[in-house]
Amino acid sequence: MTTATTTSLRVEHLSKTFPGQVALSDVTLTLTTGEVHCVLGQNGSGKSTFIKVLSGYHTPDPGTLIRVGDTEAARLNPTESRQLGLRFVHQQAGIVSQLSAVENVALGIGFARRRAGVIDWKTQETRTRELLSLVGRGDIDIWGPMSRARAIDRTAVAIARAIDPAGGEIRFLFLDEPTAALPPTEVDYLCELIETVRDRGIGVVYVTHRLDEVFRIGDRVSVLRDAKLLGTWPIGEINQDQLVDIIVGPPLLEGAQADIPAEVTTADLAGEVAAAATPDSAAQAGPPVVSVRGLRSELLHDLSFDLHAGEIVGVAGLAGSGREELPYALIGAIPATVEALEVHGQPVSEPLTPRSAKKLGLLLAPGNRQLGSAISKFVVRENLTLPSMPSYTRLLRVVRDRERSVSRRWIRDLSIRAGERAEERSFAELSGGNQQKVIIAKWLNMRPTVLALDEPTSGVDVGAREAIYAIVRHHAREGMAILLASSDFQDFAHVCSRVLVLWEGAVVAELTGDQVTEDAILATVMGGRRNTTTSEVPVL
Amino acid sequence: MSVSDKPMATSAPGSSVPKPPSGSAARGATAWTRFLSPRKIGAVYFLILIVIFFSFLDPNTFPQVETIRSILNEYSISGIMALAVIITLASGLFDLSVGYTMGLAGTLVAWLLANTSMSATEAILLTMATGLVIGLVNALVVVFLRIDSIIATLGTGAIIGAITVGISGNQIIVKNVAGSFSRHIAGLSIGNFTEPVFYMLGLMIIIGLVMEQTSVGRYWYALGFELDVARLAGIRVKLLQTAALLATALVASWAGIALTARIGAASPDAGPSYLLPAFAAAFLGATQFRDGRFNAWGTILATILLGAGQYGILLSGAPVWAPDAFYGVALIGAVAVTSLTGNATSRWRGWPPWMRRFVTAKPPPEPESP
Repeated sequence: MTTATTTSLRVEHLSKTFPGQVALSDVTLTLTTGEVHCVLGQNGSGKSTFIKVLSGYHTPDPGTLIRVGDTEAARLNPTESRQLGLRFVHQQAGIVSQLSAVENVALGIGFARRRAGVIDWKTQETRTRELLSLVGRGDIDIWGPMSRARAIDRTAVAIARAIDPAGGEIRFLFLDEPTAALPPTEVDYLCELIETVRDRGIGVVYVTHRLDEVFRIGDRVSVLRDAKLLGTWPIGEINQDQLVDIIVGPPLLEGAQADIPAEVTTADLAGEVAAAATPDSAAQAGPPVVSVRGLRSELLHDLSFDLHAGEIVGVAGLAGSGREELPYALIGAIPATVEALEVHGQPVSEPLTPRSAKKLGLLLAPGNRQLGSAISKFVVRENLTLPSMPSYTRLLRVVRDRERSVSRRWIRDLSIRAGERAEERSFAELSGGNQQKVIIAKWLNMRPTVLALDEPTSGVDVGAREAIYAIVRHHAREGMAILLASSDFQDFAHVCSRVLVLWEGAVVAELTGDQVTEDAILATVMGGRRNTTTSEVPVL
Repeated sequence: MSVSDKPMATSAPGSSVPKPPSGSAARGATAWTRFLSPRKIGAVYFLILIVIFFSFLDPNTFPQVETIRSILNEYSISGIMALAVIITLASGLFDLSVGYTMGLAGTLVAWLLANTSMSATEAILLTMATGLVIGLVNALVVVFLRIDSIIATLGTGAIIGAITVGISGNQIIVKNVAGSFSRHIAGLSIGNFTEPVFYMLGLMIIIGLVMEQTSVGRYWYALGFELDVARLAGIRVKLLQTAALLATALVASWAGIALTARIGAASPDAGPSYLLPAFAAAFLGATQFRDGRFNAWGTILATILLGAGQYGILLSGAPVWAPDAFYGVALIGAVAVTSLTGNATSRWRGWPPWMRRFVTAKPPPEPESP
């Protein structure tokens, strides 16, 4: 599988246009075997499109030239891509949970067979073992279903499958954010694994969000921004701060936010939208309504924070940083432990479940289409009243008129648009933005002390996004404490007075006041260290 | 100019321009057409077709009041069983042990009457208590041991079946059953309908109201549709799943007692044969009236539909395999009519234009009134 001489993969004038969007624009880049080439860039900068063009998933625009060794092509299909020695491990690793490691490895190039097409399990087992020892995981259970394997072993199997030499010569291995789903402790192993692969003469193209990994294993680094390649640098000639500046770009991103036309905002709350984007931090005065110490879950390690009434606190972090688990861990919806929890100054001793959290006034509104968000076969009314059924029940009977009048009020207040008798419309018929409003209304209707929002604006159009910001601000002003976890940094800049930045399951930085800008958050989130611009106020 | 303007001016308000829906009369009409569309009540149309078909085929015997009586008397126990399974199905669980639960109840009540000095009331109460225990065991395995309900209830069902055979000694029990017990539990009642018909209708109303009018029913549906949403909403998931399994076991036990009383004997293998028809009626019923929700009204409609077809076939002297064949065809046909007309994601491209006015699904969403 090793190549004696170095081969280069040169991409010239690569462009890819989707309807209404340029994903890649005139990218020219050379990759070489035997080196680790990191590709960085924000969400939507074109990293994944680049990889998908090379894997044959996307067809590039005319004018593109791809040259691998002596072969030239204007485009590749998946078979050609494989024949040229390109292998891919995509973001979700492509592992079938119900199948064993042996079977998953065989999904790559097929099973070893004996005569009459009978699978030669013995050979297949040996091959799987060899491949896994190659990636330093020769000792894992290869017959059990992958659902029982740890995340790192799933990634290892995906890489083992990709470098299976039975599929032909391998020149380049493309890894698309393989560490995103890994707990921080496993990242070390992956870095070593990548070095092993590189030392076998294979070129590794590594897409990541984590700058520490880039400086640890990278030989060269390329940065994409807004569909363009900004350049390629040898790792020795660039430092982390310079790299952050290149990724984020000049600070004119504020303009993008101002572009939102004012008339799309909802009429009722328009006044509040126009109010200052960053609410005053006076809310922080006084004792916290909720105080969390030592919150732990699979991705969270010893997380502590306070929430005050009227405060909107953002939670930022890369995938795998614990940002996605925090809202769920807070209400006990996923396995989590907490050392000390105080609500309104009263210590809570019982373990949290969604039910006990509800009684304490800690509620979670998951993002639309996320686990546990809403029942698409219920109508709007049934979704809205589900957590508070007892208050609509008289003598065992659900009083639908009360449900209806409450639903109508929320539909009016949040400008949920679903035509006439919107409360009796099936949730599935609503647009994404209106669905998200219904989910938020469902929990606001419970009058929470703390409302945790997870990805409140994902898949939501500009108008609804503004409306959701307005709703959140309005309720914070009424004294609700809001915890907003999001992968979209715009959300923080618009509504948050304070942003907690998570890295490897702990708060590494807290941005307040003027520091809450998209650029500053991005730099801190990707850097994973206390940024110089960050306040030195201890996190607790 | 004025000449050419005239025909345009007159044609504009004419019949070619659709009138905007005005007031409640228009909305009432659409509500009715929506309710009568085959996507809501396909089984009713199917039932009408069956009645017409057999009335032509068998003009002397089929179109009689006696036919209605026979069908209801014959299929009431099937109906009770179907009502039993919709409770667990609505809450997202499969209880495949219902047939065996029914068999055990029927056998146990007969055994108690035959071999003990218990009165009928005592025997029935003890049998229902046993049904409760079965429900608890199912809940223990499904809810607390977290074994997938299909597998778990296949297992408990086999055990219950074994107990049934053990109690009965694999014999049909008739002693003390055919007499007053039979008359009291499954005798003739109002209008020469047997009592099980009224059990079925009574249970339909009770289960229908519980599922649609109480918070427990709403929670059951929530569990069945999206367990995670229910959990995040702070609903007592385990308690409600347990309640559903208990209710199903109790209703199935009552079906067993009623069957033994109607036949006047208890056969240990009577119960399991009711399992598949019950699920068939439940799934067919879910496509009726309530857009994909398991519901009591649709379930009984489905039971009657499937019963009427089988009865008509038997009456017309068709071969023995014909009723089963009809059963399969009717089930798939009725569900297909409903799902093809109702589901936007299906390949169905819509009714031909001449049919459209009868089956228009719903008006387009209107903009909010100012």
